[in-house]
Amino acid sequence: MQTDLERRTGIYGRGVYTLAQPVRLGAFLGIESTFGRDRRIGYSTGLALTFVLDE
Amino acid sequence: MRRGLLSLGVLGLAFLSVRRVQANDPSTVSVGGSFSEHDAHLTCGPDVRVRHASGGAHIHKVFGDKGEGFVVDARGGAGTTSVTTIYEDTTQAKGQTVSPTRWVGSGQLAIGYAWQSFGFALGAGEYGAADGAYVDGERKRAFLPAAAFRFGRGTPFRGEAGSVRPRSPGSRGSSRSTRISS
Repeated sequence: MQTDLERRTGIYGRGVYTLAQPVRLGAFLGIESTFGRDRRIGYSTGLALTFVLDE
Repeated sequence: MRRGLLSLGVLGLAFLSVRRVQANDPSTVSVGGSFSEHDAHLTCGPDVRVRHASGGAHIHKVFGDKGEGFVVDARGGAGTTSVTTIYEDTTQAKGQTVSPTRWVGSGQLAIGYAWQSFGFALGAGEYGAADGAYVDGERKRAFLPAAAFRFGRGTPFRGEAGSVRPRSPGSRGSSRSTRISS
């Protein structure tokens, strides 16, 4: 049994908030779609902590 | 009219002065997690919902002064992929697990150069399942190209393209859906 849809791509938005120098909190949300005959919509979301090393 | 032009001029000067103090391409270390969900149709099977959960790290190091110099960009992530049915049919009940939850991992390395107004990094990586399952057609390992570009000085406008799975912090804007064979 195999999924018949191979690739997805999407548009992503990302926001970054400086918690305290040099630590930033980032969040992204994306809307994704599959290629092919049977196009399906999906989403992707996440959080990340970023440490700026040379600030 | 004059007041408007004066205000615009002051705002423009303020904007430019802020941009000057920002590093164009700072070295960073990021850790985080993500979740994604999409539907798919199994060949000769039911419609399914594919869910991915992952965590990872991203290191972006610039070897140079004031964010200008050679760039090394390394990313790695690990996560799980699960597939469940969406609709009931004669063979599968709704919410039934189609494939066992698999641990998958990916890594990418890109190298480039950053100037004041432009930066780029090109590289490649690999994606695979911990149990050696076929993840991309007939292959047990999938190739993950990577490209990242920055335009302008200290602006938030960046472009990234490539493929990554599972999604890790700062991951690039295109991804492969898991092709699961069982």
